[in-house]
Amino acid sequence: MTDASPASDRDPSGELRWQSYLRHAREPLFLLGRHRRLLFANRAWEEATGLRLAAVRGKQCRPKRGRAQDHEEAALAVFAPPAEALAGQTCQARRRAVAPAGGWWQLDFFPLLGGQGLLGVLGKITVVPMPAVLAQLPDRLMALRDRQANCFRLDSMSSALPAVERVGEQARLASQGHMPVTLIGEAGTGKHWLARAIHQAGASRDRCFACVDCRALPPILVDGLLLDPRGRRMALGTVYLREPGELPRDLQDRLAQVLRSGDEADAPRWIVGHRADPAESVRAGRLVHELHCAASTLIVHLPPLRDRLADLDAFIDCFLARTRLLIEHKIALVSPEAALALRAHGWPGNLRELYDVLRAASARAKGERIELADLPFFLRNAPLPAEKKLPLDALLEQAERRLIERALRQAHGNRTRAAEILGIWRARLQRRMEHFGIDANDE
Amino acid sequence: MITMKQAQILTYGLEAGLAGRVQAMAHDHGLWLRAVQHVDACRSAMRQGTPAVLVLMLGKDLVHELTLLQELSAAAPDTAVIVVGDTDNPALAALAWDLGARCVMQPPLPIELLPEVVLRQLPAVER
Repeated sequence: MTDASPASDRDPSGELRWQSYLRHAREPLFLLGRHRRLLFANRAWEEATGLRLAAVRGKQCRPKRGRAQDHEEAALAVFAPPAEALAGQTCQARRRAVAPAGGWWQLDFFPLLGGQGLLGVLGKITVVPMPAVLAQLPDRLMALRDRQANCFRLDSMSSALPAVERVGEQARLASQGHMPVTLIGEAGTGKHWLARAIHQAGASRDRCFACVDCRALPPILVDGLLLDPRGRRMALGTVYLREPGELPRDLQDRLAQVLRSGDEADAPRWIVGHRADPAESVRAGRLVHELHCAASTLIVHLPPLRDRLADLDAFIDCFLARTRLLIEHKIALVSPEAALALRAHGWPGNLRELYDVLRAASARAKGERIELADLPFFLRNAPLPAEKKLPLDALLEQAERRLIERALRQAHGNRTRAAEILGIWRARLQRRMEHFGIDANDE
Repeated sequence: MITMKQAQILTYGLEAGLAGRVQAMAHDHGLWLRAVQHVDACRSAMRQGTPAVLVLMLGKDLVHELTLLQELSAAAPDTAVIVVGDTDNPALAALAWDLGARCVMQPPLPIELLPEVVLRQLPAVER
């Protein structure tokens, strides 16, 4: 912030305009330096917190350790950025409000990165309604929810592939409403992840998410969780049902009724996952038709990994980071030979198989990258894909034929006119038509 | 009967009676089971090889136990974590589901179902 800006950049009070924008913004905003000291906060922040910026500017916002020294220190602990923010990642946290009125806040942290690393963190406060059943939990347990939530972010799903882009758009649409969603994809394609990401991006994110695997739970437990009034005390925001066709038919019928009614204010949102085509399961008698209809207001198809090899590098980076939660290692790379082998594989187990392979390879690797020898036998010895050929002459002839046919259509079969459209002599057009076997009368 | 090549069940903090039932089920099906009583021992066992099922009894050290649940659901999503509580606590149950539990068993759900629930989490692999 310098005084060298032109006068037109200042508002009547003399502040630089952008500072004025922040100061007068309706949302409570604050700015921390790289050492977590409070540098700036706007008026809305002062009103929300009951603190005066002049009294707390320059103080550190760090997590509480034992008893706080004073009230201000305890209050500023709420604004301590999580480790992810200090590492340069945008993230959210739910914390108990400092305000006298109590309640809960959602804090959004936006790291500001420069050439030398972290410059500071911009924060925003939003008041959120927290279900009473969760509000009674201690702060440290609530912080675990935030950590979990940051693993499921729709914005981490960016891809240049049209099919994946479509899935992302559908997921964003689903997150904006409460409609039931059906996810269809082979095992390991990420249906659970997507269901959770839709939940986290939606209005029900302050309530809980439950993944109910209908293959792996006794029906009596599924009934108790989803249909018994005692189960509703948990204030579930989203229920992800895996393979509901595995449930007994009477339970499926009752679930269908619950999904169709869906008019209770606190009813969870339903997301259903299928490995195979649910229409086929209905025909085979495994899945109740009414349940499938009630659950498929929006249907999303997840592509298999073999159709997403363009995203393979991004998955490798993400999964290697995730494996560090269990295994202490410094693996951040894959050697070119290993990358080639990974790319050549068909991945019948999709993302789950890729993760298992990388996790095992990370444990075996001796250096700082995964080598070909660290991969399992079936990957090391797979044949490399044949080099893709691009026959230039054949492709050019195809394009030429299409252009000639189009010009003839445009000219209603008149060859002289068609030659003018193509910018060539009529004789040449005649020769090419004979070469391709095109009869103008057919156009 | 489900056959497994290398099944592995890890239990944490189970009291003797419940541990006995799960142990008996594991023995009947030829499954290998390991029991630990401390969170650090549980973490160490996970590093040696992620089990197919972890039965996690809540109560001794809630923060560390639930932190373990959250870490496992992120780093070992194929490990089915079954959370067991001995009191009816909707808040804890909701949190456990939210952190990735495959199943949460607490009163009034019948705890006798635990061995069946554990067995159902194991993938069936034919020899």
